[in-house]
Amino acid sequence: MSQTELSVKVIEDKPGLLTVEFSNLRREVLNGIRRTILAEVPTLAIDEVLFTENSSPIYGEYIAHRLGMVPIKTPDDPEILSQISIDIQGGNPPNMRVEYQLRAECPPQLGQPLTVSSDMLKPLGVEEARPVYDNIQLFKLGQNQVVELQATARYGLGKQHAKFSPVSPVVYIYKPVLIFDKTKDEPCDQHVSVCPTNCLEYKHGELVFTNPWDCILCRACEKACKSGATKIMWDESVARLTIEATGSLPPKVILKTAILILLKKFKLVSEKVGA
Amino acid sequence: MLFPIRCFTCGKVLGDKWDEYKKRVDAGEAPSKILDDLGVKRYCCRRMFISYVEIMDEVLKFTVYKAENIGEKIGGES
Repeated sequence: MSQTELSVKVIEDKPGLLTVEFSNLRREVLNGIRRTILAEVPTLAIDEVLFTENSSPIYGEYIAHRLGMVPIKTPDDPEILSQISIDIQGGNPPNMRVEYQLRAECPPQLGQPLTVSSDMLKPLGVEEARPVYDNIQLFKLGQNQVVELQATARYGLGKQHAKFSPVSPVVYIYKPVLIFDKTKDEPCDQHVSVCPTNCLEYKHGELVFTNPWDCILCRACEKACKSGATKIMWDESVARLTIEATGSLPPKVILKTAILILLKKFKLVSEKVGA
Repeated sequence: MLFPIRCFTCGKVLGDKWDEYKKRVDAGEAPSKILDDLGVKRYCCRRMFISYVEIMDEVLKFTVYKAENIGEKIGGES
């Protein structure tokens, strides 16, 4: 493989977490993908709540905000999702809605507050669009208190509200590089002990990484090294992108959708140019 | 008042982890170990757990009565 050839390698693939290593991908492109994931991949989230009864001391706004925060399983077809994103950004949001109904009452014989969890939030019609987690506390009710509500979920983008974003953090880091000058070095164990992630060791009189990807580029070793023999740099041609999903979409679908959105936008630009 | 569903800073979903955290803290386990087990590794998410004070049950003692019931509660004058 030549030095400038693009290569993509999946490092870690767990439910809700994906780490991909890109070699020779320009950082502008990688950051474009990252920002598209964060702000433009659409998901379902509760956006409107209608209260028909609320005799609890908690405000309706408070409950509605908590309902919005609950991640909801979204149909995971990258092709459809990318089109939805383009439509929303073009001012034609899709007319898809999912309705939820919830009625909770705390009977006096219970003797303790009733906790209403996300498993009580039942979708009407679209069975798949249920909350990802069943044990999220939505609100609590005291004796004889009643809450009855209807909620509506719709598609939205992370740039409209963070609740629509399919990820919590999505980050990339370049490959850390350790430059060690043997001739300058004076015997000192400070560099190794000062490292917060313990990723340095002495091997044959030379300071090396045990695993370069454990390094967080904090440069504590560089500061601790009085002789100036240690230097931490990074290699911009190799980067790892980590996607931590909220659960509404699988991480691989998120990555693919983001790339499709970018491609569709470029296509729109070339159509407008008319070449 | 209630445990937040998401981390204020990074947006990670934490609401599903509260029940297990509380159960294990009540059993005497060290919070740092529980949070490591639950996969809560950033300090923005960890502070959500260790700084949360549960006061919801105190607030729930106050009930909003419906207008037609107020008379009955005061002394049946309606």
